[in-house]
Amino acid sequence: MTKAISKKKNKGHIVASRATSPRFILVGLPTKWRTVFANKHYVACKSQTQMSEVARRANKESLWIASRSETIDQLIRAMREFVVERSGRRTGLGKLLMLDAPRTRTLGILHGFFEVVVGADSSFKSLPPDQLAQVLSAPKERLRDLFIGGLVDTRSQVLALVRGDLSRVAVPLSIFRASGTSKPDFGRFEVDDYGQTIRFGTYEAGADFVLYALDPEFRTRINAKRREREMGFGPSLRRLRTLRKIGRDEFDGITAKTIARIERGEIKKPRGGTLKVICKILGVEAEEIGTY
Amino acid sequence: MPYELKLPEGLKKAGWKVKIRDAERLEDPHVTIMRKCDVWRLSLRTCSLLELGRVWRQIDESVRAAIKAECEALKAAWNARYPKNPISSKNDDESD
Repeated sequence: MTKAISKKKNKGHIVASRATSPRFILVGLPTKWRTVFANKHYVACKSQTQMSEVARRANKESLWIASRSETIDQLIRAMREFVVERSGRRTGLGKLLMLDAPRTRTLGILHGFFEVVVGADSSFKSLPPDQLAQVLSAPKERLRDLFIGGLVDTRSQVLALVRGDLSRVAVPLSIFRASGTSKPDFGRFEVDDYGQTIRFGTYEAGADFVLYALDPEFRTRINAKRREREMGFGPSLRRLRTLRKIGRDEFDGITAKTIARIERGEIKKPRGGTLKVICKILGVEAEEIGTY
Repeated sequence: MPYELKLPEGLKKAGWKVKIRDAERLEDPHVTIMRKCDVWRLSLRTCSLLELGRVWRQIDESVRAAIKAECEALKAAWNARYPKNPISSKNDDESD
């Protein structure tokens, strides 16, 4: 799917080519949303007819973004017609993100039409439009590490966060401990910095802090990267040098800065005279360094 | 309250932010550099980036200069927020 889809004007709305499946479907959103989704693969629709038409082209990757409960009612009617047309066959309409809460009674219906439904509660707070558009169109591998919104339930002391791929994570508020300079005010919850920061008043927590505490898959991925970082010639050299209690400035003819760069992996592996000096000072053969 | 490095307006508009937040994933003391959805974490002990494959030159030159100029303030800000994991606790010779 490319951004360079053919477009045509339809009563002031940009409608993607009939041949393509839209990535984002903006349902009854104010004009500013079309600005922030510019250059993304989107379709804007307002009328029930347009919604039914777009439903025919939607697939399981499509994300419907809707606001106002009356628009959501309209969307339900459009989906009803679509389902009747398809004789009830499930076709993968995609996911639904609601920026305003729908009528409570319609929730079960929405879950019947869409694979994932997010934002059903009036206290759900999402990122500002421009940030939301950026996060939702981030690369797939990055989507899960960013948050698009959430809500705090003070009674259960749990924060429900929604990730960029619309999966959810339940966060006990107890993980947010006062720092040396601030304490969290759970009544003032926001997501900011393009989904990278959780804010409670003046208190801020990193999204990666939350995920590391609660998501085993995230921890496994991060720790694998850390191990990878700690392997290789540079880290081995650093461990061996520390073991021998030798300073970086003790390698004849090699600056401390160069040794630091080698250790950080910025210089992949030294060769020739540099390697000879390193081996001599450390008292090892070149091929032995990687074993430390 | 997070410590946020003051950056020129142009950099802020481009989405750059440099912060030490109240709850960071605890490893090496570090500063988080953000540009929209992207992120780099710079160790305040070793002055190197914590993630493999991330390089210093990916960060705007003016942001790098601002970090270098405010290095001591960033270290003090970390120590104020994380007194149990101060920068001096590993008194190694990691700096350049």
